[in-house]
Amino acid sequence: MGSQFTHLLGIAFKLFKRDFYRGELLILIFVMSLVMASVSSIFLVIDRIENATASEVSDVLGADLVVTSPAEIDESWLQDAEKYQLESARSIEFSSVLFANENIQLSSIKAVSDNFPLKGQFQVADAPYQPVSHLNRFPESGKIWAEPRILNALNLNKGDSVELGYADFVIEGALMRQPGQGSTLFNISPTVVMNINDVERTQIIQPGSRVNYRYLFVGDRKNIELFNEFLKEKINSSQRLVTIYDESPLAGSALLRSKKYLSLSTLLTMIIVAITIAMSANRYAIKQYDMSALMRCFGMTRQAVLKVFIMILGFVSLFGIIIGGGLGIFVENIASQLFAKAVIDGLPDADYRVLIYPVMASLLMLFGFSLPALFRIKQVSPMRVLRRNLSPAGLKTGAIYLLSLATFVLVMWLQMGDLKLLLNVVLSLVAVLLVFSLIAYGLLKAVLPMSERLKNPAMTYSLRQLNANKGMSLLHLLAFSLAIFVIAIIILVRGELIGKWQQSLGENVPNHFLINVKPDEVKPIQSFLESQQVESSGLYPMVRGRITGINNQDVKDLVPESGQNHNSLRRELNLTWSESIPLGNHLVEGEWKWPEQNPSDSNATARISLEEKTADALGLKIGDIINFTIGSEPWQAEIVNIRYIDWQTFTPNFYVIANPGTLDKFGATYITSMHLERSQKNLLNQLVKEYPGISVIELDLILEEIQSIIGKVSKAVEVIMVFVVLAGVALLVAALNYTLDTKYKQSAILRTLGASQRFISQSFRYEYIWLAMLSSIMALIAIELVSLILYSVVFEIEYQIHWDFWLIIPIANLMLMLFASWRGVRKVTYSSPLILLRQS
Amino acid sequence: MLTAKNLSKVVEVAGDSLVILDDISFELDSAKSLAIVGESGSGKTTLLGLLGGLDEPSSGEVLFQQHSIFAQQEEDRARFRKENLGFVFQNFQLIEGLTALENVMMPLELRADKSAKSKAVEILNKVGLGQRLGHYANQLSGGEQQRVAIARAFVTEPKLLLADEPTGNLDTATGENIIELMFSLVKDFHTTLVLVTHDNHLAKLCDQVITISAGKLVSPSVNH
Repeated sequence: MGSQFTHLLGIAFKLFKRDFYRGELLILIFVMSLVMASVSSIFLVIDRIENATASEVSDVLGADLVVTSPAEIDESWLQDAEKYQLESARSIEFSSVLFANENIQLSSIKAVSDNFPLKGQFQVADAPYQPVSHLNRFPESGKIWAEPRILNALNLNKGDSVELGYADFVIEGALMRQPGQGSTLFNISPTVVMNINDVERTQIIQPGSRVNYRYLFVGDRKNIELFNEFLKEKINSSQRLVTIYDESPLAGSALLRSKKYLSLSTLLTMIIVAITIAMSANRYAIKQYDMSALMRCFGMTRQAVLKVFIMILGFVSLFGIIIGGGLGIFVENIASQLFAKAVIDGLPDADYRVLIYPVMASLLMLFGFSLPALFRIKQVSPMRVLRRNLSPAGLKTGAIYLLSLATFVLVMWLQMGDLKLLLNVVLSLVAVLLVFSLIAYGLLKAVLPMSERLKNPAMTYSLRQLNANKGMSLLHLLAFSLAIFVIAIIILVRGELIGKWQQSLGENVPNHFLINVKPDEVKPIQSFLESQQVESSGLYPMVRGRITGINNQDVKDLVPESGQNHNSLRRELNLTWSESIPLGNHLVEGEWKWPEQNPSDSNATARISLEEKTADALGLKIGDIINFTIGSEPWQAEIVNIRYIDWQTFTPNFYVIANPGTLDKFGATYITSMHLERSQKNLLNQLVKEYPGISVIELDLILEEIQSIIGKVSKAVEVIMVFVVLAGVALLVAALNYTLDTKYKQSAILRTLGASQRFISQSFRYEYIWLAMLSSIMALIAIELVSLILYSVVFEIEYQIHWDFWLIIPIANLMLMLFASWRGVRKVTYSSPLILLRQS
Repeated sequence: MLTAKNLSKVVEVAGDSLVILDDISFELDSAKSLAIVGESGSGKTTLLGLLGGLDEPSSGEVLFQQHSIFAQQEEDRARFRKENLGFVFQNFQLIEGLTALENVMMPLELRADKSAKSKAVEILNKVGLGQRLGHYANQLSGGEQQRVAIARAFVTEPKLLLADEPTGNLDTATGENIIELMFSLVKDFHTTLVLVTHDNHLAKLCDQVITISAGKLVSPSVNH
């Protein structure tokens, strides 16, 4: 067995060497190297960027992993954390009242332990909105840091004393920012940070007190993952593992989108590469038919022939992995230097262990997509040694092709891990292929009759050739149009989708929210903002209410199980009223038309507009009545329309908008969002001093983090684009080589029939022009179709026709195809017919 | 040694049945030679393919040393070819990109024969190409290429040699040299030879001749 293997290996190596020197395997090795180089550099770059992003995520969380619990966790968990070589810290969070200067202020107290903060730093100033100090420590015993709202409400300064429970504390500074701030951003009460050792002294925490214990862990990424899995098994229903999506939905969604973009780009690169492999392998297989027949004639079995060619592919893989892997590491280093360093401070080192995936992916792609070709070689009849025109019959079973497709889906799934996106893309691809085939067939049918009417004989001949080789023409049209399609979609991803996203987080996006504004403060605050030339989104009234029933029945009885955990049922909702539909909202169902309201008729049923996803989750429709509890009073309203909200607008958005007047009896506070430059941050100090009741939510740093993530993603997509273009060129060369093989014979016959070299070269070039034009049209139709699906289903962005593509793609495609085929056409046109006949 | 019994080959072409060979029978003794002659398209090459087990008949059988080769599975037929047959083709079928020596070594390497190189050198010397061992196919003339092909066929000392128009691509003088070489090797190795040819002069050199027309045996085996 072993000796037979070595024996076949020897034969395979001899043939590999022969084909390598003759250039037969060059395209295949090039493509394999390209797969390996592109996938490995994509993986290395993405790995580094993901590491960097993970570190930013950790800054948002204040740790790599956070567990929250209403009671102290089992000590043994902390010992287990030590076993995983993790550092830990904890904080205790509870609400209490601070006393000072005969005033009181309800506050969120955060008592922190040794080691806190594990990630990031506290930013503390001597006074609110003054220059900050970055501190890696926590307050000393007896001292606290308090947020500006507390200092203003209680009229406190640094060094003043404040009472908390039964203990006194000294104000050490204004707390301007804290690690893991995501969790506290939208807290209604402002935060105080104190030393955990002082908690007992305050005597606030008693049995039954509502307390939130947070346990924070940092360490090696792998160990964190292992510990995360360990904790998942241990935690009970009241304990929770906190993710970025809980702490900062904004950063979480940015991260999720980034991964979708990168996955999509990589996936599309793989599609091109897969087609190139299939095409190159098929061409190689066709050239091996004689060899296969001869080997069979010499007494080799079909299986042995198959094994020899699998081994040859093995050698191709080895070359590809070495060349491509080296190239990938080189490109990753260059790319990181050129692009990533500019946007990432302290980019983590690459982890070369991730190369195992590109190796596996490259091998799966090469063997998976060469399978049909290999099986054709295996099926060559030995009779071919006597009759050279005997080609192997087409594969009778679709199983081999299905296996290739399955390989592709497997590789993609391993890489993406996002089944929804993969299914979307695969289904789109199948649709694209069907549409492509139909369009190609239709276009060929439409163009071919023109051959009779054309006066240029070379042009006529070129059309006849397309007609004569309809199968091949269709194949090339599919290959070229798919390549263009993929490149265009990646350009769309980079240019349009990311661009639009960046635009939505552009320079003047609101980065601060003012909440808890009293009705009598609305006008003065508006005037203040106008006088300071601060652009705001306008002040919206806000009433907080909880959904308790639907159509006068208990909400728990009516809402489907899938909707029971929806946000709208877990917490109080912000309700507002408005005459007109707010910006960034549009109606999905129903009309925006409020009935005339009689102010004296307080019993009239109120009407509301409901957000689309909430309606879906709760199974609500127009005409349903929602029962709310506002404060302690019941309130009900009928749904008159369903509304879509663009959550990326960074303006106040509301699940529920009522008709004006119907919420008047409830005390409303107002909310607004505004954009402040760094230099304008001092205005906040004036604002909170003047209106101590208002709360300021600062989103500027979170927004900067999101923008930084988008910046990195867009750079990563640029790296991918380089490879996708290279893969596209490789596909073009492979496809042109394929056509040139037949052109050798054609040219020789035409020359012996007396055709001029000019006629032959012109007719060949016209053929490429037809292919370029037809494939461009096919690609453009598919681009519009797929981008429509991607925009509306996956990315939820408004779709527009890409007119610029309709101009650029045909021209670029034509130029590229003529340029790439120029030398080949010259070679088959100007060589001696005898040489051509021998080569054919 | 070799017996063809009622061999027929029918293929489907555009829904119609086309008879390529119709009820061919003959016998050939060991170390004897047989020429198959006939016009183009008469079925000669198909018959040669069936005799070598390269293709399967629609009916009938081929016995080699009293054993039916089509009673065997394809894998066993491959082993049968490896152990017993040699082939010479009209278009030489040398493997491009391999030298003359490597071409001749190939069938021995497929048998994992450790002395492949020395045997290949010896036979190449025998066919007069001892000085051209390292030359590639495209660096050799037509006659030289066919000598390499003959050396490759004989290097495994086959019991049966099947030759398809071995001089078809050569000029008369070169063709005669090749034939002379082939017959002398057949004699030296006691090989049984089946030869397809148009050339009556060549056919007359064989011990037996059969003529085929439109797939039928028109003249039974003639002994010279």
